[in-house]
Amino acid sequence: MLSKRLIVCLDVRDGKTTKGIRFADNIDVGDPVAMAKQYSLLGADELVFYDITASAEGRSIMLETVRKVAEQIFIPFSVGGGIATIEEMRAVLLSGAEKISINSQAVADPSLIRKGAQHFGSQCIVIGMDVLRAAAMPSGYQVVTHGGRTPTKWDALQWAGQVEQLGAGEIVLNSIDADGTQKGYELTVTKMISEALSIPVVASGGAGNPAHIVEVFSAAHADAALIASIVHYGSYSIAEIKQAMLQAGISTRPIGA
Amino acid sequence: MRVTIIDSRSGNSRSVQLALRALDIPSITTSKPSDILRAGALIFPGVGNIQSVKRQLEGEGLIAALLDYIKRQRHLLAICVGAQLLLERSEECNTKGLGILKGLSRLFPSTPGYKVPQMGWNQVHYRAGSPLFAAIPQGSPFYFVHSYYTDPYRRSEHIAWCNYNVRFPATFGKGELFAVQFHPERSGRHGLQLLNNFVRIALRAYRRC
Repeated sequence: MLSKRLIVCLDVRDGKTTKGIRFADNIDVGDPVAMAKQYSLLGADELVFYDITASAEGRSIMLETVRKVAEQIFIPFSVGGGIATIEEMRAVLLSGAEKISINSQAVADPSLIRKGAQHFGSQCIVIGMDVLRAAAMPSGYQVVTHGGRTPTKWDALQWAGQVEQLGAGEIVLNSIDADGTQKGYELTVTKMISEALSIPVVASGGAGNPAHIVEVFSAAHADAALIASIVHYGSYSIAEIKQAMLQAGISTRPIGA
Repeated sequence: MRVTIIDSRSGNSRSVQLALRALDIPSITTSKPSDILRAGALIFPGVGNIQSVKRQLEGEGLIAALLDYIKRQRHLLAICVGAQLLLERSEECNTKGLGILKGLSRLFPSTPGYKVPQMGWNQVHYRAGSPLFAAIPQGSPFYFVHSYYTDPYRRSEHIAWCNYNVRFPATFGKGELFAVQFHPERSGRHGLQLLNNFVRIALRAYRRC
């Protein structure tokens, strides 16, 4: 049976991870390579690195980071943040990332999705989409960009259908309403989009405890869940989350396998 | 003995190379037909659209080299689209394969609860005693990303199975040919073990010659 995936998200700025983490003393919590390795050992099924650097220098540091991560971990990982051209996609993939994630750039230029899928295959094109509750939209949710600051013309459900048609291999659906609340994922929009699409949907934003992760799988039919603060700040371990999933009858990849 | 990896012009060749490096196995990544003909053990990672992969290989003279290599009965591990290309045909763009083994690659049926592509970790059960799976527990998870599944016709060529809406041979082959639909280079420690097993099998045969 295909397991539901837990994807640990790491923000990277100028080659350093930015969130403090309660790991064992010997782990440098600022070092993306050490953190990636640690999370891989602790049972993460996949990793995603978001480059929150704005500068061009930061971009080349990121590629170096990707190369180093690829030397050390042998589970899939994706890279997102500021990727806007086919050449930038190529550089990240050839550095060893399994997938690249685009968000605002895909809204600005949807043809980037098609071109990316043609060049590298749909399986490595992940579309990150940020959504906000909006009663005026047909689905009740609107696509926003730049971390929620910029509204777009897109209805969430229409945009999701559009990116699937253009050749995206997967969607990371981030609810701006839920993000940072630790009160649980936004189940309504996650269920709506996951059930409407034939490509996998990764739920993002709002996880505060293992029960939230269980419910996004069982009630909202997400294919994977993105987790960050819940594990970065040591509230729960991946083992505890996977234990809760097992108890709820959700297929998960055993730790150490 | 060095392992030769066909350059797939994607990150996958590099991932395979790094996985071998982690196992202390020397390798080269190449797109030169002459390197392939000289190889003692060959890994063929393919990723993306099967037709583009095939066209690119043809353009570089690699299909002919690969066929020649296989004729010489040396060891080959084909991964993902590489595995699909060993069969006669794929439903993806109705692409003709190399026809080394009888069978097709078929599109997964899309039914509720089964997204296409299959993306993620799924359990693999292998035929008892398969040397490719030595020291790997039955039912170990491997990482899959694919919309088309391999359907080689001869049951004797099936080595391991995976269930995703349909039960399909996730590993197949005969003699010195091995084809895996999953990505051993992304499948954690069991994936590394499988790569190590393949190289050991090839090395034993190489020493006998």
